[in-house]
Amino acid sequence: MEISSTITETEPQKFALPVDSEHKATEFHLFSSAAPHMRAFHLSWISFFSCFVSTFAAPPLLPIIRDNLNLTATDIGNAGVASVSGAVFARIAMGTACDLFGPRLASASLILLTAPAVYFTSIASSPISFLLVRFFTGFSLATFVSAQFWMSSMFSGPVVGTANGVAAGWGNLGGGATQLIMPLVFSLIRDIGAVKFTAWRIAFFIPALFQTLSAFAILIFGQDLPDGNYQRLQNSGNKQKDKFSRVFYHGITNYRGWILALTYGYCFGVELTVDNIIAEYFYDRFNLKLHTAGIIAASFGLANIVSRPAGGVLSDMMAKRFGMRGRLWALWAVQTLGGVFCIILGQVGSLTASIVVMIVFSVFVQAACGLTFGVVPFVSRRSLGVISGMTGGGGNVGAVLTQLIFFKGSKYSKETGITLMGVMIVCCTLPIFLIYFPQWGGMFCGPSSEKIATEEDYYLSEWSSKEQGKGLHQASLKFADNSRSERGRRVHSQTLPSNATPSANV
Amino acid sequence: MKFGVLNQGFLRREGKVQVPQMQESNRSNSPESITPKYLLSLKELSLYLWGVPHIYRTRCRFLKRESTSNRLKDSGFYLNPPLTSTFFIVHQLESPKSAEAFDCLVEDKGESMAATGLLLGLILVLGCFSEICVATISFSSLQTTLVVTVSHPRRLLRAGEDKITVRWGLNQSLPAGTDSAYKTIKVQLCYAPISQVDRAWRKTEEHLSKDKTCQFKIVKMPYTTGNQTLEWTIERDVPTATYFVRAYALDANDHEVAYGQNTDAKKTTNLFEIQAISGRHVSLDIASVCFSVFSIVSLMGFFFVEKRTGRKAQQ
Repeated sequence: MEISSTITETEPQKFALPVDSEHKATEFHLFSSAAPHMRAFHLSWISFFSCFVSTFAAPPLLPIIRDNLNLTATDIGNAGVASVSGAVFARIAMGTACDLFGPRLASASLILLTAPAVYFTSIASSPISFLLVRFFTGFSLATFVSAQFWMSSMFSGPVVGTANGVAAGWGNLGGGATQLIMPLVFSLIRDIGAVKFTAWRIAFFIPALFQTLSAFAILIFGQDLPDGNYQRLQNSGNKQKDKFSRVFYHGITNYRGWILALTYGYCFGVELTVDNIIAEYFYDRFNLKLHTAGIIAASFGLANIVSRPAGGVLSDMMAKRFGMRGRLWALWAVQTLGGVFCIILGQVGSLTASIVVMIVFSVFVQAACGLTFGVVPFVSRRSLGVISGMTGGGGNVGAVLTQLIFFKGSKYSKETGITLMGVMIVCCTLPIFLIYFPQWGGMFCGPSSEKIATEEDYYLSEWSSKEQGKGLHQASLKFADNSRSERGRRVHSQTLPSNATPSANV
Repeated sequence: MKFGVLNQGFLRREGKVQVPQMQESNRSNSPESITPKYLLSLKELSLYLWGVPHIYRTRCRFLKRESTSNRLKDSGFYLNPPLTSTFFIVHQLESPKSAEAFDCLVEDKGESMAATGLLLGLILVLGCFSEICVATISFSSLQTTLVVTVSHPRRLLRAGEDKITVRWGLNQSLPAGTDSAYKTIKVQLCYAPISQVDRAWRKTEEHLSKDKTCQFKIVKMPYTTGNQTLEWTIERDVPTATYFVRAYALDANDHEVAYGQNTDAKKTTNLFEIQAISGRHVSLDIASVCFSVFSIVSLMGFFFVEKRTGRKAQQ
């Protein structure tokens, strides 16, 4: 008798970290770079960091560039707007690309395609060319979506919030680090002997090279899923493809996605705007040296190292006690406080007070970003990529709006612009009041008392009965079960305690 | 030095500001209490007096110390000492060049102050604090005593290559001895109004310490009577803009006391343009293009390799 054994693709593999049934890691070890999970984490945050460094490499050197290219305040404002507007649609497109091609190829392609824009910054010679290079460089900020997507593919429920928060926070760090790196590189090159107007051009090769090398690292060392790359898995039939049109439709018809897109514009968007204007603000208002202004401006972005992850952690803590309502309240409170400190920042006139207020402001604004992505995973299961992309894109829209309204040209002085931006933050955070989940409630209302208000009802409403008949909704069903923890301490004793993942942030 | 309109609404008696009687143990009436061990550069102080709900506002200006006597030469008002001994503080700036005194004018905010007697001390709240300590000299307080002319080979000059010839000297129609206080001359390259439009970092401000019109130093040398000439090669970090030349006469304390410029008061005549270097080099251009091409080509290379290994795995 012949016993034929079929060796399937799903042979148990050895992973360095403990994994769940989908081979997603259930633990997060920050200082390991074990393949594939932690390696993916380090690759994604480093590449996202490099994109931030490139996108915001110009602002700390603007006092030199504006003289070399004969820029007016309007030109500078336009370039600032351009640098963040490219990523609005790029982020939405990136979500789709990750779905289709996998985060590894999608992010590496984007990074290598935008690297030329950074190289060409060295040869910019007019306001228009400056605007164009900043516009195309800004596309690289879409790596945010691929980083979050990659983390969600590699890490399971209990740790995905932390993984997402740290990856995003440490990537955003690039906006602060660049304010330190670029003036330093510039003064090094100038001290070697180059004249000012050449030194800044040479300095731009550093972020460009860094970006190129990080893309190579992703391509060589990274993989899309714990089990392998998309192409191989799709060829062997292990991965199912969803219909893009349905995914897209369910994403854009969910009003909560739009509200979060708006409010993310006033935490992350404001962070981008401040990255663009803060070095010049300190340089001009307090007569500091370029180097000093850069250091102070850097501390704004550097707070990301802890504040954004802290926002994610706070969101998870509030969810444990108060469920989704706690997450929403925390998000509203932290972001509103950020707006208040922004108002104060524009009002204070002394250097020390400005620095202190700026740091406090940065902590609140970045924590609000982390808190937003504590809510996003629960808005939709089927269209997670689209909702993440919308929210991310909304962040950039906020950056575009604030720069257009307050920091373009000479209409408002920078300090007035900052104050008014704070007022706008407070106003545009109010729509969080309107977010309502039937199964968990909203800020002011409790969960719906109707019989159909359960997690399953909410997540299965994204699948038609025909699709459910085909069994395509199984993953959503599992997710709905896991998300019962969003009820907070009120969790019914009757709900299955067997699914022990406390907060399923996917 | 003029103090503008600070006089109005103040408690004044006999040209000096009187502050309410205060009980203080070591009160001294000598102007020496204003001894400036510390330098502050302030525009405004708000004084909150302990136990007394009155707010005073002060404006501080720098005085010069006469080297001949120990009396402070006041060019405005000086404050009767009691307040000073307790509250001047806080900040010592690095090596002031000369011992500058500052005086503060105390303005009562309208409420009549009888003797209070319950004061224990003062808290000082700084309203404004600027980093650089300079005397707040205003431009309009300077006299136009110098005559400056500039000659240049053509109207559009090139930075790093062309030279301009600057000539300056005292206006001969002024009485002799006008320039007795002038010790140093500082000649600067300044932006014309057309190059300041929509560029707040080149704005003209009244107070010289905040003024950003003149950002390039041509020369700073000791002042000598008679006309001076200098041929200056335009430095390579001068940006493209329209310029004029201004010369400041500085006194022994390095403060501006007079000026002259080669254009009129409205800064419309005798302007010249400078074209900056681009900063670009052929080698930079080539390197940029090469690296960019390399990025794209390597991406396509990776795709090609991936497809090949994928096809191989399928076979």
